Amino acid sequence: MRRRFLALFLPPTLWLAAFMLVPTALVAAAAFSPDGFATLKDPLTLRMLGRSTWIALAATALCLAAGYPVAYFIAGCSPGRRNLLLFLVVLPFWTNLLVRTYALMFVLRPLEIESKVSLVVFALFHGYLPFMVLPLYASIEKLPRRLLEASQDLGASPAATFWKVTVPLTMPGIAAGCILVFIPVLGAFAIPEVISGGTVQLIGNQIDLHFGTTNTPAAGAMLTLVLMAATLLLTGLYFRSRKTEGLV
Amino acid sequence: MDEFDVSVRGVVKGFGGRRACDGITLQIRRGEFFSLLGPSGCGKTTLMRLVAGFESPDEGTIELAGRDMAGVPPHRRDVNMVFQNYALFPHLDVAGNVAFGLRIQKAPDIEGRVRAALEQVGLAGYERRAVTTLSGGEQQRTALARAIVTGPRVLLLDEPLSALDLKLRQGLQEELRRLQRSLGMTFLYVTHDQEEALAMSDRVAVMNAGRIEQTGPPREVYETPATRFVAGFVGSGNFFDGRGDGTMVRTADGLSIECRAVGDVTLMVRPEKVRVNGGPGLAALVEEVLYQGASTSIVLRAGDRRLVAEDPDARVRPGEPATVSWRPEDVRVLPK
Amino acid sequence: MRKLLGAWTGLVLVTLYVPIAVMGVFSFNASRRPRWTGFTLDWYRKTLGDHNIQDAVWKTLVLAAASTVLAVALGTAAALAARRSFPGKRLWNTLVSLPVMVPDIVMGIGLFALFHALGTGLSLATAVIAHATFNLSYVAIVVSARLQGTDRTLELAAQDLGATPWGAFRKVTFPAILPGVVSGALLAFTLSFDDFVITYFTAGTGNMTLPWKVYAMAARMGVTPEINAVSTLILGASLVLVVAALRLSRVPVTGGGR
Repeated sequence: MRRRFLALFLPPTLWLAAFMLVPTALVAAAAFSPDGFATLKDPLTLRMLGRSTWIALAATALCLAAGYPVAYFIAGCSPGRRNLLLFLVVLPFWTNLLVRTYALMFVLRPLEIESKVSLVVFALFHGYLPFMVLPLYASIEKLPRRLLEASQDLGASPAATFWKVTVPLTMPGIAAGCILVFIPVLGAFAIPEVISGGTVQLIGNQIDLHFGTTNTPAAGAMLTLVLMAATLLLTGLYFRSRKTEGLV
Repeated sequence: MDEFDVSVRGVVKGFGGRRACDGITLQIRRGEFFSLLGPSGCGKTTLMRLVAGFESPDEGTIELAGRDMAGVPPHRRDVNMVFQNYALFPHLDVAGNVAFGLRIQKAPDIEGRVRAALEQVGLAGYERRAVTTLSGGEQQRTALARAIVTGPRVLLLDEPLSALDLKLRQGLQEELRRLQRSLGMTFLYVTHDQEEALAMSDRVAVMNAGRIEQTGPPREVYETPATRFVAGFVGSGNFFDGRGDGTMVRTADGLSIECRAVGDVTLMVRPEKVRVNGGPGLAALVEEVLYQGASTSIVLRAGDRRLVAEDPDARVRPGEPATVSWRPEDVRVLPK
Repeated sequence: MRKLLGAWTGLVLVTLYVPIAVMGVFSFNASRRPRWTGFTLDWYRKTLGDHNIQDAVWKTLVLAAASTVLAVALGTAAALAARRSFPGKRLWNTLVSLPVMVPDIVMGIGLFALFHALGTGLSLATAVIAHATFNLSYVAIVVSARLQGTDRTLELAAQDLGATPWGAFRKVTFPAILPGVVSGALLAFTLSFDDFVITYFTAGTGNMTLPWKVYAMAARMGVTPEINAVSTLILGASLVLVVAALRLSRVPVTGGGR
């Protein structure tokens, strides 16, 4: 029994230790160096980090604003229709993100949009929307209809019911969706590169630059570590919210 | 006109070809405890949802306090509902649930009114409790407090006690009745439990297959049922189909029962009116004696006919022969 | 209100699909410019005949196949191990789901640093290891989801009836999780096939895969009908894979995607 368990347990665990933990440790080791710390004090880097965060937040907000009505609509459809719509929302998400971004660039290029930052935000929204809709849908679909009726019965208009009942009760889905979008968007690399032609530099592009072009690996490692820390923090929050909230 | 808090006239509501309400007319007086009684699927919950505004009638009108409710959404109707499974908001505590309607109204002194409502339902001091930690009875009381605190004209209660166990249910029946009296609020109460309806109501409407079969005070409905369905659903009975000539009703299997009815009728005798070995009468065989504590049911067979008696004086055992009799005035005549 | 929501949903779906559709249509456009002049298969002929592209297709497929085999073995083992409780299980769960959660570039850089430190250089083999690492997690998630639906007592019942533990696994558990394993494999293949960022950091410039090719061409030349054609082919291939995977079992689609 024990040997059988170890035979199952050890290979994937050792694999992940070797190719997930050791690399992270190496990155951390490279980051914790004078050059690495200097990066965090560099006002240019700080500005870039701030701007990346801001862009990621904007894309996440856009996903939430656009995705909530979609998830709400799908949850109210008949089961057959619901599956079709969910399939349509999910489908792009299993196709090549880079190709989809290229396609978006192909369509948007003739429009000659001035603001490259808005282009990047829109492309990130376009690429990661399904990450938002699915958890939102899961929590809206579980919302008991009775509670909405109870709210209206107690005098709340449909709008008041939405803000006082639907939104608080789907908060776990909102949190999950935002975290699932924000993490990859903050670390996006290919999308901003392709859509802005390299003019908008997010954390990911800076990391690439440090390793590939300027040969300043300590700085790149520090930025990678920042991303990793943000991921772990948000993932921790995500798991915690899943544990304490019953609805998702 | 405005003596009626609820008037429903000729209401029809269908769901995909099936009529849940098939021409309902009823009027509920101000301050009345009115029950809709019927088996599941008879349309009583649909009728209640029509009054609350969650559904709109295909035909007919619904008035609340003399005002036509056509096109008025649920949140603009002066009725509150206690839902079957309470529908408490899990993201709010007890006080938050009770205060919900008051907050919407932006009412003054919310805290004081919430406290008063909780006291009325026996939940003083429960303000900060999470609703998920409450027992079934406490959830029920919270739902009740939430519904009465805004002082609606009519309170709708959809089988509010059906999820609770027997003892709790009986206690809450009394409490509900007392609360209704002290508030002077009109209650429209939906239930499938005939004892509950009889015990609590000022008037009962018995529903079957989307129609109201009879409306009246509990005693009237029980003692003089208007139809065979009512007689069978509100209590139990022994039924005899036959033809009357003005003095006797004769059944197909050759019984003659003293009764003034004329023409094709159904006769009904309540089990508690049937005496076993209480004098000359129908010859029968005791099949089963079911001791139920306060009463004893005796199942008898006379030919192909199964009869039920509840006679506290009978001392019989299964397999024994017995005579079955009743007083002529205990026979009820129902249209066939 | 519902009409409004429906219209909005339609609009969002149009936003998602129109770029893909337009790009697909223009991959058959006779003109180089983004104005429709007539139907042609020239771009497909040209790209499919290009040795560089052929080489990229081959490398993409080898990379996807090899990493899928590794990931299925490791991921299924992880899912089976996760049925037991053991000390530190929550931490272990986090470790297993980490590759799904961290941004691609974090994994790419970490593995790049590892291979650099080991002095192995970058090759298709290092890319296979990298892809197997993130795919391991996806397979483990998909197979676990499947395992949650199967009854552990069935396996015990089989053992009770005289089957050896291995026999019980082969006859009871394995058939039950097979659909999960197969769809996990298909998804792993799809993800590997579509990946760009991790390949970019772990394969070395001599081993360009198809998505990388698209990136390189788009960065160098902007929009061209050749890229349209390659992209449409990639999309078509992943569509086939996804539909197959979704049909084989109900996959927890919330898992990820790259």
